[in-house]
Amino acid sequence: MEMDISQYKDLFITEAQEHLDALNKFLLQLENDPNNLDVVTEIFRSAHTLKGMSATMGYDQLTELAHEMENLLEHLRTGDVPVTTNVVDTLFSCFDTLGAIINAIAEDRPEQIDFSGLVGEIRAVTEEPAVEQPAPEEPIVVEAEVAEPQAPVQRATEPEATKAELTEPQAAEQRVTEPPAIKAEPAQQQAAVPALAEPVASSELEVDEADMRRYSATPGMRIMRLTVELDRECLLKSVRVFMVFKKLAQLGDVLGSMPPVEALEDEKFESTFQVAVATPETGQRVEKALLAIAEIASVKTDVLHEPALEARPSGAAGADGATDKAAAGLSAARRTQSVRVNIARLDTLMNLVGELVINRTRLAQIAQGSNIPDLREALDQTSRLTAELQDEVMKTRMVPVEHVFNRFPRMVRDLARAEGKEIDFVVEGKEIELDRTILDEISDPLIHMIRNAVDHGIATPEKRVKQGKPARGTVKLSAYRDRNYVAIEVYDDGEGVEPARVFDRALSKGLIGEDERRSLTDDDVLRVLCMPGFSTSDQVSGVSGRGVGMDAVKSKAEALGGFVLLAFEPGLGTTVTLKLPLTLAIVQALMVEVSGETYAVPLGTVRETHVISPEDIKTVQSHEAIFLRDETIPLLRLDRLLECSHLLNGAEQFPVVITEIGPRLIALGVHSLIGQQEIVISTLDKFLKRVEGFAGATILGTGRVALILDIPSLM
Amino acid sequence: MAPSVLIVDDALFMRMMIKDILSKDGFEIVGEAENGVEAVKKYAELHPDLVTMDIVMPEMDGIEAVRNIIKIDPGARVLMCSAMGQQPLVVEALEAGAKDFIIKPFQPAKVVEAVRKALHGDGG
Repeated sequence: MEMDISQYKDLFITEAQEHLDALNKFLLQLENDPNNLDVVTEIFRSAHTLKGMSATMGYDQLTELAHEMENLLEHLRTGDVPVTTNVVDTLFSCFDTLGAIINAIAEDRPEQIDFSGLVGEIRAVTEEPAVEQPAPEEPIVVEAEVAEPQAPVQRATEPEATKAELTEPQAAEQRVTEPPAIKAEPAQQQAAVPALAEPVASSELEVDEADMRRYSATPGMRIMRLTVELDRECLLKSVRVFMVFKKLAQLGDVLGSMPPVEALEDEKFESTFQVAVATPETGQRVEKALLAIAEIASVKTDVLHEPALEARPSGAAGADGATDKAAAGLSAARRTQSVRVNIARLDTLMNLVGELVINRTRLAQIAQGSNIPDLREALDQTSRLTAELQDEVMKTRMVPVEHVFNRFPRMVRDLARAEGKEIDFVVEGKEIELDRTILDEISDPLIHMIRNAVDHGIATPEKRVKQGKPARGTVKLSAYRDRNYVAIEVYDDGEGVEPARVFDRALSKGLIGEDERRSLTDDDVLRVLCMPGFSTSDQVSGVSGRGVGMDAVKSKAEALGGFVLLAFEPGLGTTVTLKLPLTLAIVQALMVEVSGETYAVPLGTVRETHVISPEDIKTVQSHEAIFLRDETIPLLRLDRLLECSHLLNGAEQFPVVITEIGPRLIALGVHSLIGQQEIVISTLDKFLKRVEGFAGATILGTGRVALILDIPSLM
Repeated sequence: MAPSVLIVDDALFMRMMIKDILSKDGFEIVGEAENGVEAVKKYAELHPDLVTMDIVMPEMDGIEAVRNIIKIDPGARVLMCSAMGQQPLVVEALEAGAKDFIIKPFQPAKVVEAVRKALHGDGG
């Protein structure tokens, strides 16, 4: 039976990445709490699973590295190697290399990654304590254990400790010299063991004469010699031998074996061995019992002594219970709980739902013209079902932000170490969910935001102490729901932003002119920071300050239908917030009409609507604005902005939509309000991407196209 | 009726693979569990004809799970899935009542053989 292994590759990659994330997470924990053995166990387990998976896929490099790691981890687990900075660093390097190999596999790059240096490092840190402490070398320890006759009992009472020792392959091999398997067997078999140690001259196993006499005298006993052949590819021969002995001990008394037990335990035989047994069972039954063990290729029976009397019927239980049990156990609970679905399928599903929503809207519009109650009712039902369907499809696409957040603790740690800073990294709201597509896209912007916080935000411990702050800085990454948006916030209790420095820098870089520099206020800081080519760092560090950070963050946020906010307190800290829509495909929008055209305003940005009269409009610094309660809100007349053919005359009342992006408000003057509706967003084609002011388009129920206003770009 | 199998492994990838191998050979996969605790719970609920059991798992390891399953059903057929270098653990599992074992990396033919033997062979 051949199997195409490649079909499992994607699954393998996904799961291997998850393990890698877990490994990084746990190692960070361990670094902060080096005595936490539970964490070591977690790391060990992940590494072990990764090794098993890799071996199954035939990824030798991964298997080998994971195996080396496992050795080191084993020593950490038993405590004979302490968790030092060196050890942690080495393990981090291992994880990075594992990551590189996994990526190479993912991208079908065949080249081998040379990690021989790393293996040397692993072995070096593993050896370290042996040099420091004049403790006995390992083989001696093992021998001491072997000499201990109660070893199997010990194993039973201290399963944890022994298991830990034994998983280490080398130790395990050495331990095979101790015959735990056989010793653990019933007493009568143990009694038989010493006889086996005698040299056997003949090529066939002979049964000791005393045994022959004794068992021949027992009524109903057969003495037989079994020639057992293992599969050529059998991997744990000693364990198979153990199983054979165990089975035979259930059927009768084992009288001896060839080669002797010690040799069998050491796997010092090819594939065949002989065992003598005294049993009331027939040869056929013994054969059958042994063949039921996996990897037993054949069993040949030579009966050396037939019983004088007919064998009693065996008391051993048959295997016939299985069928009854199967019938009894059948229940409705037989089902699988989850399936993995390709994201492309979910995209298609979402598109179809989108089409359905458009058609439903169209139907609703047709129905408005008619007066058929049944049609109305059916439509209402359809609407409800479509909404539910859409909701469910959306939910299937939602993934907790944890998937992206998990990688950052490691990154912050590395950055902080590289820059000699001390940072507590706090993560909140990991469980908040976002559309998978959006989540995949925000990883890079978040890296920029966090790097900025560490690089430009948090100062060195010395400087912080001088400023009267604790030496350890805090960087907080949090996610939370905010109406139709998910907010992802990066806060640092560092330097804050000094607007004057920001503006001066922009000036010196020629991004703004002298005149503009004078008119800038604190509200303009974000805009300036986000100018392409801006960087506040005086030195370009290895990781950020290359003048791409905030610019990239802003454009990514906007491409996703979201926006960026900045809050700061000079000397006290900075918060950068990324606000993202829950989903890309379908949003609630307020439909407005301007000069006969319909436009959509995403509802997430709408605070309220008003109808205003010309006298409500004031002019502030040559810009129109309206006063609402105690706020002054800039007014943007869409008809003028869009250069429509029909403009409102100065005397008419008109509706305004108050939109809100963070602290900034803007009043959009429109001709009329149409109403709230769900829209399916179609992105603009590449050649239209650069058109400012529009986030996309949507198809209306009438079949006409309406443009979706991009509120952040109008601010 | 096709023999029912419960697959226990903390790696989804491994579960998928065992599942594919066995379902191609006509076994019915009635459940999956990703740790020992879940395995024992599912066993009690599903009473499958056979369990494939990973050894190193979170929450409760495979050996402990075998002990608990045998407590529920002394006739339970559990097939251990072990990595290389775990001889002592395999022995411990067999002593705990596991019927047999297979070694990763899996060869489909061997898996099927071991499963068949565990199901149809003389349980002793």
